[in-house]
Amino acid sequence: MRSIKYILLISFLAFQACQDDVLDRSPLDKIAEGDVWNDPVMMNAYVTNLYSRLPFGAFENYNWYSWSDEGTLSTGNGGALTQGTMSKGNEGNAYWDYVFIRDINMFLERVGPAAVAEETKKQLEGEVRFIRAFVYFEKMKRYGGVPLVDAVIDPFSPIDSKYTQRATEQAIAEFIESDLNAAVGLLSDSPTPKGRVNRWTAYALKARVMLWAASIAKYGTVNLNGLVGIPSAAADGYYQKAIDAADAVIGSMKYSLYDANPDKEENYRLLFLDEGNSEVIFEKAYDGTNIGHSWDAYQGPNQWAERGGLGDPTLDFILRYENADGSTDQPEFGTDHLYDNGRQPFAKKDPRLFATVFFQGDSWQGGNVQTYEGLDPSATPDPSAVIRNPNATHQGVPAAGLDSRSLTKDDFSTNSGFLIKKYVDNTAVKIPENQSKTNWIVFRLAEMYLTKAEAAFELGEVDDAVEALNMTRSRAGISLVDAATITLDKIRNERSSEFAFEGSYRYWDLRRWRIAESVLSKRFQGLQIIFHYESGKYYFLPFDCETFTRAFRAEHYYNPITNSRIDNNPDLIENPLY
Amino acid sequence: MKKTLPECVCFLQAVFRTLSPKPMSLLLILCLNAFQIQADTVVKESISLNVEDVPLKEVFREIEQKTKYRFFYSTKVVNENRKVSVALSDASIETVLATLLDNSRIVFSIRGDQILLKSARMNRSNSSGALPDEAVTDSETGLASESRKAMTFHGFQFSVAGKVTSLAGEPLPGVNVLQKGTTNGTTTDAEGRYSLAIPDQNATLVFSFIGYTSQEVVINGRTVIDITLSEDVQSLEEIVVVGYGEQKKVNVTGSVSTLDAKELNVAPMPSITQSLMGRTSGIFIKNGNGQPGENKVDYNIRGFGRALIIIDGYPASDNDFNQLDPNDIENVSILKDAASAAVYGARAGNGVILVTTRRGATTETKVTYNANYALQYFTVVPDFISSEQYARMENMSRYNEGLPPIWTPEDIQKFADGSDPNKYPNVDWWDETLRKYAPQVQHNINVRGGSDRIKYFVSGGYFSQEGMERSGDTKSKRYNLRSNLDVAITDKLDMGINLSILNQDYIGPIRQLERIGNRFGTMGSIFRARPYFPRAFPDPTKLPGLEQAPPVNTEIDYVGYKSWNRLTGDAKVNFGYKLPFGLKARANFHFYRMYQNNKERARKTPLYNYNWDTDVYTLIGYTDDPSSLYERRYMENNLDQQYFLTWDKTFGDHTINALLVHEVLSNDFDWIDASRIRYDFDIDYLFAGPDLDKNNNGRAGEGGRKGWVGRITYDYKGKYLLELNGRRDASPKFPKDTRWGFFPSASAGWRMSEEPFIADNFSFVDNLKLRVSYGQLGYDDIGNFQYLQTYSVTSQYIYDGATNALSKGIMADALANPTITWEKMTTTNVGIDFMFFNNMLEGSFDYFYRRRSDVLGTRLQSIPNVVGAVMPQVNYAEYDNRGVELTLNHNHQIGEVQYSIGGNISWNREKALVVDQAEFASDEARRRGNRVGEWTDVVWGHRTAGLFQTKEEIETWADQDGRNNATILPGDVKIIDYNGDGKITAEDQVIIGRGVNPKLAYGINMSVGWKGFNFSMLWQGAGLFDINLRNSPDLTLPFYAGNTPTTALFRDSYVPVTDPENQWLPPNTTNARWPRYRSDNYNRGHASSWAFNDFWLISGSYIRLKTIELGYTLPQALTQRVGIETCKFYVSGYNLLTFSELDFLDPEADTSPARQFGLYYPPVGTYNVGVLLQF
Repeated sequence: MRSIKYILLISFLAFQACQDDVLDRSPLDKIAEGDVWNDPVMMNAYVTNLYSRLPFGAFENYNWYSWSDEGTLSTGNGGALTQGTMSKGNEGNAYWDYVFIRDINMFLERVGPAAVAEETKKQLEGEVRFIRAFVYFEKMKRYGGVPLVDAVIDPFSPIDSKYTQRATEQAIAEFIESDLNAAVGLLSDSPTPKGRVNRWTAYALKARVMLWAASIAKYGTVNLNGLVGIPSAAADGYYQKAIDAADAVIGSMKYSLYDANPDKEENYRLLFLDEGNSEVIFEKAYDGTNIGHSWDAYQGPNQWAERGGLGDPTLDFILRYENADGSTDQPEFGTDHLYDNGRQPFAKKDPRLFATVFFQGDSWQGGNVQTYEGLDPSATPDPSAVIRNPNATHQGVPAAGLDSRSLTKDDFSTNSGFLIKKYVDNTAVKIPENQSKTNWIVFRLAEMYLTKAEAAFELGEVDDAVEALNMTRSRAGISLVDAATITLDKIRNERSSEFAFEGSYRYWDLRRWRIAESVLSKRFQGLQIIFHYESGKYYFLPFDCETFTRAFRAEHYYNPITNSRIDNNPDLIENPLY
Repeated sequence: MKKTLPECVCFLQAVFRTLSPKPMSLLLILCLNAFQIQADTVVKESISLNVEDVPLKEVFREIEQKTKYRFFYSTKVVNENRKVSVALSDASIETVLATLLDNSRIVFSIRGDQILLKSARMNRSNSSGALPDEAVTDSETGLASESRKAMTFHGFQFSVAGKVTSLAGEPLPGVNVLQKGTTNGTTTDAEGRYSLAIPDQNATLVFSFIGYTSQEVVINGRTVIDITLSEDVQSLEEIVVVGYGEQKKVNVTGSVSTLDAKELNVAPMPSITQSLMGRTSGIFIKNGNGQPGENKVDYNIRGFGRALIIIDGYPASDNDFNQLDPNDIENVSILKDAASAAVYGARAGNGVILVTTRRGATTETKVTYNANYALQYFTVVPDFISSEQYARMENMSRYNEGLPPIWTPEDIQKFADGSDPNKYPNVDWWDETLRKYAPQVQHNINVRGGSDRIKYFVSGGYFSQEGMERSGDTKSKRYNLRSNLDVAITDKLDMGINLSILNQDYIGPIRQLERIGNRFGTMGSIFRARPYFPRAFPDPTKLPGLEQAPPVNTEIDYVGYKSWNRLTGDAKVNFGYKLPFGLKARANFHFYRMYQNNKERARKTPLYNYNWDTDVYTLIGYTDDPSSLYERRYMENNLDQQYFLTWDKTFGDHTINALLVHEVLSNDFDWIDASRIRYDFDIDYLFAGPDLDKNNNGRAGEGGRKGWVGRITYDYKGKYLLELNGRRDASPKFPKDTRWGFFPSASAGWRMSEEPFIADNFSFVDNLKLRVSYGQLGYDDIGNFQYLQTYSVTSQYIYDGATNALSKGIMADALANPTITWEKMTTTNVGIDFMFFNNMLEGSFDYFYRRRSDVLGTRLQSIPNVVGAVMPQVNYAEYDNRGVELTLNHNHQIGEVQYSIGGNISWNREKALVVDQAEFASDEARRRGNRVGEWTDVVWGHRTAGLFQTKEEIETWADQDGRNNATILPGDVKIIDYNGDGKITAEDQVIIGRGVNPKLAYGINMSVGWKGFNFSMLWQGAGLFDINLRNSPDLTLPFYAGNTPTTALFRDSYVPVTDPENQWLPPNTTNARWPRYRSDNYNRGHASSWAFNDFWLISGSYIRLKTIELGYTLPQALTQRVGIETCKFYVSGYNLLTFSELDFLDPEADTSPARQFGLYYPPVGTYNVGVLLQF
């Protein structure tokens, strides 16, 4: 028994020996600072993260169309941007991501001394400068001038007021321009892969930013000593830079307008589904598994979509499409006008409309889209006799279509009578949320033509404008313009028709042209589609598809800086009229 | 003789007063006893004894060897380890005992060859100087006198005999048995047996024993009376488990709440924390949900953050604690103040819950079997409207928005008359999906016993709980095995081994009642399903959609399952060795492993719609798409060591206990998971899934801790108590320079009841102790490695949309804080413990004040966000907490009725002293933004003034929608324009309420025992918190996301007066409880009605009958015939009655936003029946 204590003592010492390091732990699931900045793989991974955080405004940010006049939402489309309640306490569509800016600046500070091949460093630096330009452009569009931070700031020592005060809007435009100029010099000219930034991507962004700056200079007002607005004298210079940048992309001959299908409607529809086609300059790729989106689940007609009918084109938007033959007559609605299907009233319209919007009776995946919301059993059309109950039938015909707004009250069906077709995949049924894999196009060549058309027209270079504008019009299959028929309205309208539902084009266009107050301060309409049983035809009743009148006021051309940001940083000055 | 006794006492009193300077009271006991012993004993025997610094028990053993005497005493009374020194030759036994017990507050009596040791406290009335008459003296002391003996010897013909046992069935030796009102009495022998001659057949016997509640029994002519004495939990001798040791409760100077494990078995609950509710002060518990296998419970001590849990000396996880079999628990101590928790250093700032499991005992082997069967039920069941009401309400809501009705009068008629149940069904989906009762079963069998050398406690348990779903597919099971052994290897070396294995199994449908991640919960489906959805279609293989038919969610066959198994193995081995000079060494080793295996299988089952007219089924989707299988393996290891050195010494009136501990803890975890999707086969293993879209992941981490603990307690005459604690602690969460910290504390106690001015003048005071403590603690339950700048793999991106090759991105974590250290907490605690009227009234009161400094927080406000850094946590903030706790208990026995009533109440609140705050630009900004010096639980928002009644009212009211009230209609909520600027903005916000955590908690405990019956009741309540109804839109916003409203909404909502054609519902305006309803509530900007404001805030206060039990123990005489010592049947209930302002939800319901209030597994109540057998 006596030996027990010696055994215990020995085992105790042995135990101690192997346990001495309990305080010297290291993180097993983290990467140390020193391992990042001299390793090209890690630096590339760092940039990968920056790409993943880029504010693409892609499928995830579906609301853009609901803030512009393009569409409404089945969920009612309330909120600061539509109801006009944006104020310094309530911002809509905010983007103030200085954490991202810091991470970008961190790379640009560390890349110089990194012991990595120059070629790699050049390309990565070019990409990151593009990203910084992209991010500042997002801020500039919203706030005008913002604090211009181009270095990594130490939070624990006094901060230079040049970083805390807002720069002028023009200073931001120039900073973006200089970053993009630098990027152009650093980046490769290979057009692939399309998810990676190249020289032409940098030019494309530059064209977009310069057109923006030119529009602000021309149509905006300088206020707060330039914190918002750009002197009008600068407008022409920016328009020219926009043309030059667009020309650089067009002239590179790396891209061409998609024209693979003789059917104009089908060609335009496939432009968005034929991934990586020759028109695409820069895209956000999805694989549907690791990175997926819910466009199909949300936007498709109920019959084929998991959720369905979230985004609903307005009648106002549809009527804006030109007639393909150049005529200007609009369809007629009411009980006196019976049509065979939902498309017929719009039959004369631009083929792009039918590739962009679903109409009652459109054939889709072996069936028909049914957005009619009621059945009129009376002999002559009588709106008061319409049966709208989705559970009811008349002579075996359901009183409301399977994709109609009467279907359910779950906000899972259209509120306007129309549904979005652009980008909706016709090869799969009921794709679950977050499993769609269609790629999102960030820049495509058509934008370069339309940028050029607009800028050239603003500069009075009408012939160049005509030539550029006709590129997309002829591809779309609508009547061409000439120097006599081209107008600013036609150029602007072409952007609406060409880029509908492609994210934020329309919303920002309305803001930079300073026409949002008139375009958006109204009550938007949809169409009630009624099936007249006796005749087997449809009639259409325009109605208010939103329960309120939208409001866009003068101050809304800029977002508010907001109380909370000013509370945090009193050097900030609030935008005018808030 | 009656006269001689007092005279002798007086005589001896005088003698001793001159001989000794010792306090009178003690002397008197001794002299009195000495006299009585002389009078009592016939045989004189002389003993020679010469020992030095030897434990009392060894001296006793020696005396037992040398003489015929045998000692009887309770170890709770006599500290048998106390070291004594005696040098006597040829002394009488009385002299020897008197010498041995000098200064020990123990008195002795000798009956035949039995020596009985008892606490002097029982004799206080003798010693107080004013000696009462003889009868009282004897009933108090139970000591025999010459006259009593004579009476016995004179031989009255009637005698009573029997056995006295404890509740656990153990025989109790040394129990005083006394004929009430006389001096006639005896004590029980080693087997707990007694025999007493009685002159009066109708006399009353009084059984009394230290540490137990006295009992009085009327003889009523019986000759055999067996008695079970119940332990007196309020006894002065109660031992309390404290950090790294135990103390007598009377000597505790910190703030410690204790719980006896017996209380935990009343109405068995899935988790121990639930059982603690309302039972003790200072702990706040909220019963989060009723999900089997989870049973989420939120708890905190004194309103602080997460407490440290220690089971048998080592830190344990919440799960380890919650899943303890209540039958395995000996006691639970809650260390509330700095002084008691300081020994746990940097982790213990929020208090410590100490659990001690049961161990063997030196008794004959006892087998206990405890089983119960319970039915769980939802405490609150919402009542949904019928199809007819739905149609009316929906038409009404459309009318409110100016839309045409969707239901025709014919539809409504058909719903009402039920003539076409296929096309016009009326279904109560709650009833269709959930059952009224679900079973819960618990079994435990344990064996306890031992000898001087080996003591053992072995226990095996089983617990199962089924879910409330009608399918019965949710099942949770727990198997536990515990073996606690204590072995005395040699006289000096002992060993303890605790082994425990816990196995938990869960299986249930992959869609739980509660939403988990993106997977919608069945409870949500129940709220979404409308009463007019069909139960099923003619073809039963064609399932209706999930929202259309919630029961589909609950079937594993349709939706797939989620299962997990958790196996916990825990081994603790300790060795103790006695060293010279009262020193003792102890080494403890602990190995713990938790292994968890999760599996989730999602099935892709098609769902359909059916048209009754056309008989056409249309596919509407799948239960899950794609089908998938996910598996995860998780392992966690702890390897811990503790080395103790203790020293106990008494020098005259001074007792010192010292403790030194070195502790090394280390832990690590590691997990790996894998999944595949688009399963073609119904084989639940990964290999069967397609190789495409395989996914896997894994992660690991490690941690550790080192600490040195020291404690010295000093006790002068059991009157003045002082304790000094300290811990030097290190945690690898912090950089080397700031890793080590020292956490000191001190506490002092003054047992005023031991002072003559109390003892002499207030004889009803049994105990009165004033205590005060002060100390510093740490809290380090924060993320690891915040002192290093690190990068994490966080994101992914596809560069090439043609190949879809995935690239992983890395990102800098928050800025490093190279000086990060733990939060410090300084706590002052003042308390008073009291016990009056012979234990009849016992209680304690505590006040505490805690100041937290160096609280970790991110500086967001004071640093302009253009910096863009994810700011590190830095030690800067300061808060303080204060609170009071009161506990009162009353115990009494009247005749054969024994009862107790008690309660506890706790209150606390926190204030912010230093928080991250920028300079305020204006007074208004300060008014709204300032948090310094404010209570931390306040809620800001708009005040409201009911509902708008008329258009005119709306027009003249402040602009609350930013559109001159154009969107407001009668029946919307009226918001008060606090600053009177005519607009409702953020500037109109004021403090409107408190947070969701109760600041007041209380419990009321009642129990009555009569003969074999026992009845107990526990009421538990909480107050001073609010419930935000906006967190449960499904219950408060009709048609929210298409939900089915409850009848409360149907009845109590605002219904305007309209033209008769559209008046579907009777008008309800001024009395409406809810705003007018509309069909577009979901996701819309109705800032006025649905914005958060005080309209949606109601008091969360509640009081509920937490547990109630009625038990009956069969008479032993009956059960012993079949070899059963104890046989008890009981019925009990849990959460039976609730009083709360919240009438459609359980008031304890989980309010965390992630599990939307109402759309989760609500807490349940139970009805139980059980049996307890002991052999």
